[in-house]
Formats: sequence, C-alpha cells, structure tokens
Amino acid sequence: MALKAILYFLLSDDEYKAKKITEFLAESALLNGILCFLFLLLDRLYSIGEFVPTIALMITLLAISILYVIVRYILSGIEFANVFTRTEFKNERKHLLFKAITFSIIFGILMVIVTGVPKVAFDVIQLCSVPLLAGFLLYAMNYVSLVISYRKNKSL
Amino acid sequence: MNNKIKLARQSNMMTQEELARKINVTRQTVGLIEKGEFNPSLKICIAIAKALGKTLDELFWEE
Repeated sequence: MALKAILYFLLSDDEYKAKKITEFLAESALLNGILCFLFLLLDRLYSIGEFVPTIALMITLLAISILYVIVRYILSGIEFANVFTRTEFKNERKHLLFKAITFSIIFGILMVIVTGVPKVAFDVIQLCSVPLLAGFLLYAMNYVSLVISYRKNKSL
Repeated sequence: MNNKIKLARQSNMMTQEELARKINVTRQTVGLIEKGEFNPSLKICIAIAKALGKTLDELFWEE
C-alpha cells in the first residue's frame, strides 16, 4: 500500500507521462534484477565479494537504477509537454536559467551553514565551484530535456 | 482514429491546447493521440468525445 502511494507520488497526472514513467521504472527494476544476478554469478565464479564491499555494490546498483530513470526521462522529451513555439521555448529557457541560479545560491548558502564560513582560499574556491557546478549540471540536464521535448512537440 | 479526432477538433474550432485543458492532459498527449502514437484509456476517450460533442463510435470506430 505504501509502495503504491510512493509510486502515485512519482507519477504525473497526465496519462501519457504517467505511462512512460511507469515504463522507465519497470525497465530500471528489470535492469537492477539483471545486474544483481550478474553480481551474484561473478561472486560465485570469481568471489568478487572478497574484493568489493557489499555496501559499494548496493550503492552502485541504486545509483544505476536512479540514473537510468533520470536519463530515460530526459531523453524521452516528455518533461516540457506544453512547449510548442519558439517563444515558449525561449521563455522556458530563461526560466530554467533562473531556476539554476536560484538552486546554486541556495546550495551555496546551505554549504556555508553546514561547513561553516570558509577561512582559507581553497575553501572559498570550493564554496564557489561546487554550487556553480551543481547549478550548471541542473541547467544542462533541463536544457537537453527542453530541446528534445520541443523537437518532439514540433512534430505533432 | 487519428484523423477523426483532429477533424472533429478542427470542426469545433478548437486548438490542441484548448482540448488538452478540457480533458486534463498535456498538449503533447493530444498531439500524440491525434497522430495515433498513443492509445488513451477509455476514461480519456470518453472525455475527448464529450469535449468534442461526438460519440465514441463517431471518433474511434473503424469501418
């Protein structure tokens, strides 16, 4: 019951989007199963469990599952389902840039709260570069999704 | 199926965006349904038929 509630939280209200996300989640679960089976097989044959800690394997599997769904979602062009014209595209691009800048600023503030005010030059560089990189990655991901969505929508 | 929905929408002087809003889906979903690239549920089919003032037969039945 709780799993169903989580699944409904992840799904969109739009039927097509919900169907695609369910597909991606199912593919990811299948991929996870196959990888688990491969790891088990490798462990039986070459005892990789002795060299690779179980926690590292679990984190890798989890990361692969999450990344798979995110990449499939971005490449499917379903995120920006209402961007059909050049003007809408430009407006959305501006909005994405604003979102990325806001995210970087909040990330930076949280870093200062968690790690404290930087005292040496290296800490200042780290404080500036990590939020900037995170913001850039967020923007890049959303921008690729926007371009693919726009191209898909134009063909409809 | 695709052409019938598109034609019915156009004869109702309705845009994809307006139809999408009426049936509570995205414009992309309407476009995909019209192109025959997405098979909607019966719930959406009924919503489309009601929004366009047609019966399910008129929109979806193939001769």
